Amino acid sequence: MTRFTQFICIVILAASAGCARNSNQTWEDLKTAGRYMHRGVDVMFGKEYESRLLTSDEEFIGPFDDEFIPLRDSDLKNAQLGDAAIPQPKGIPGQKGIPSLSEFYLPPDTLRAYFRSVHFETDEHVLKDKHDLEMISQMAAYLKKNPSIFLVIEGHCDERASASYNMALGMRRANSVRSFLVKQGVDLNRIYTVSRGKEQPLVLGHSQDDWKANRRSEFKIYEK
Amino acid sequence: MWKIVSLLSLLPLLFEIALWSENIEVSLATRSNVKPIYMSRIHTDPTEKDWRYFDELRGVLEFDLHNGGYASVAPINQELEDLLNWSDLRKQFKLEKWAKEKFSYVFAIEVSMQQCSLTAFDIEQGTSKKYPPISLSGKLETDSRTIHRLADAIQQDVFGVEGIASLRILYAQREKNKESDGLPWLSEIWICDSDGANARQLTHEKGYCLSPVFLPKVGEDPEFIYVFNNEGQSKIYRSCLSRPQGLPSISLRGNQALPAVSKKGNQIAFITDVAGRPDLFLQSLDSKRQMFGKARQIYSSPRATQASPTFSPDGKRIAFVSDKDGPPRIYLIDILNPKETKRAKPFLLTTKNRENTSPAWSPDGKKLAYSAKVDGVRQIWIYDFASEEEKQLTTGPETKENPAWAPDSIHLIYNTETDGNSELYLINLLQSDPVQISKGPGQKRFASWETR
Repeated sequence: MTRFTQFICIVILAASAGCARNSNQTWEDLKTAGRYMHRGVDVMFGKEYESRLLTSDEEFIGPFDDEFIPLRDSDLKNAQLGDAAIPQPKGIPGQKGIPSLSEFYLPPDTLRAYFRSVHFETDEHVLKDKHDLEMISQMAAYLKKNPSIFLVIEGHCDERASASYNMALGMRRANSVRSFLVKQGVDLNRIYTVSRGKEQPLVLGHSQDDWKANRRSEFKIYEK
Repeated sequence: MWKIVSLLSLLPLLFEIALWSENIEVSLATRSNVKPIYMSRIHTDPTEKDWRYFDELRGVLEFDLHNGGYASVAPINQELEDLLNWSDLRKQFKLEKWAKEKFSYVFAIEVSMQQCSLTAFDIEQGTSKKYPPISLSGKLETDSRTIHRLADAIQQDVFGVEGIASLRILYAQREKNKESDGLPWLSEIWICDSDGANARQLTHEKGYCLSPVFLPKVGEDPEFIYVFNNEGQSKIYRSCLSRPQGLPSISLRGNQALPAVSKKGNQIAFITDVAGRPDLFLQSLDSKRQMFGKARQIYSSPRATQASPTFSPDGKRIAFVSDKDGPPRIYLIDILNPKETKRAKPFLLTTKNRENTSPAWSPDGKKLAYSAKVDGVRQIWIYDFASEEEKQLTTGPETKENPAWAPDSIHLIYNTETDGNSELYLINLLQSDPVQISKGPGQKRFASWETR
């Protein structure tokens, strides 16, 4: 018996031991175990994901054009990880020619095809639906062709996680869609994000379909 | 290589098996320290017609003492009432008869000429104390605050601990927008007494206000911060009780949410997406509660959501929620001096349950209250730093979130969240039965207790 077979046996054992709980929980356990394992292997090869604090007085003051003191961790900003952190636009809404966020409106019917709501899986922030991804690509192309259009991305969640955690998850979702657009070449200074958590649900039911309808990003635009 | 991988894959399995083998224990009610008390009806002049009002005032005092954590107030009993001789309470007090009834304390209350006076009898010691009379205004809101202060004075005298009855509670109240424009749901900041009474709306933003937090008290006019999402991005605002018109308190781009204030009031931790992810940030404040220096990014992780920070009382550590290793769990991170060269690594604190949110560090630093999912329902749990144990505090079918500690580190307020209804509940670690304190329409959530 090869070592690979031994490994597979262990994984199957882990899965069967998990049957004491329901299948969803077992799957979550396995995912968590997998993430720890992945991290363990990475650490063995000298890769670390942990954050880093500041190292000198200069960093406390920070560069003049930065409004906050960032972590100095090259890993965190490495786009190769597939999760680049794209900073917020430089312009403050409502100031210096930037429209106030309350002036943004739902896209007219003629543009709805580019600005449909997109939906997320439970507790996920990365879009997976093929049609949603295609639509976002078309939106990116449209925004690149029309540089006078500003965009607000709203992140919404379903009712199941806690209200406080959902405020952060809504941020995560809106920023993930924003990163996707920026990676496709849209000017990052024209895209704002808003988190609504689970505070503004689209539907009030408690079925899988209702939850899916609420796990969404909505778009509002402003043409300057 | 495969040996190492196999061993690594076994570790979480062994860890999980260890967790399953332990049953969830619920053992918090330690009623042995709870003293039985008898509190008389309010004795008044027979010509006094306002007996309903006095009954309400008595109810306020009974609630405060009964839920203070150290006493259990017995129901009114006419035979026991007849034992009290109001013409000369102290001299005619029948100590032996009361001792047979097994009460530790008896409180006799009377009102005469708009003055309320209370005499406390210590049955075990055979002593008594008459409290200075307090003036009643006839207005329930004012008089019940006076009664709360009396309850705190009694708590201090009799049990030697500072009461929390006179401290108020901030919360957010969510309601459907009745206007056709604006957001479909609105939320404003409200305040109520510790028993949920005298609730009044503080903010009138006609927008979305959440997560109010009292700043440590400096003057007579308590200040608080809250998150205001005015049709757009959420920002942290600062306000005070006398003039609740908030002003932005942290100037950063993007969204800021879920603020926590350190015990000294010199730091605010919050979650913001200014750098492109929901990261943990820290802002120092000066003695006037103004921003001091730039905000610092404390923790960020790829593909992860950070939420709900809470400070240790010494302000040196933060507990927060992160889903960096799977489902949301609570981690601890040190706030290192900016000159430190070593990295701050978050340490996983809660391991018993998979989904943990809204941590709150107790003011005495010994416990962390949080909400964790058990059998599909979020319950309030307590992590004990000394024993490193996690214990379930609440049961029942309703989801419970956002625990907030009172300054005595014994009382908690949390909110339920089931099917669009949210109410505030008061619970203390010495008597485990929760009491609903909120009334009226709207979802009441995100409580914060006034500091001393």
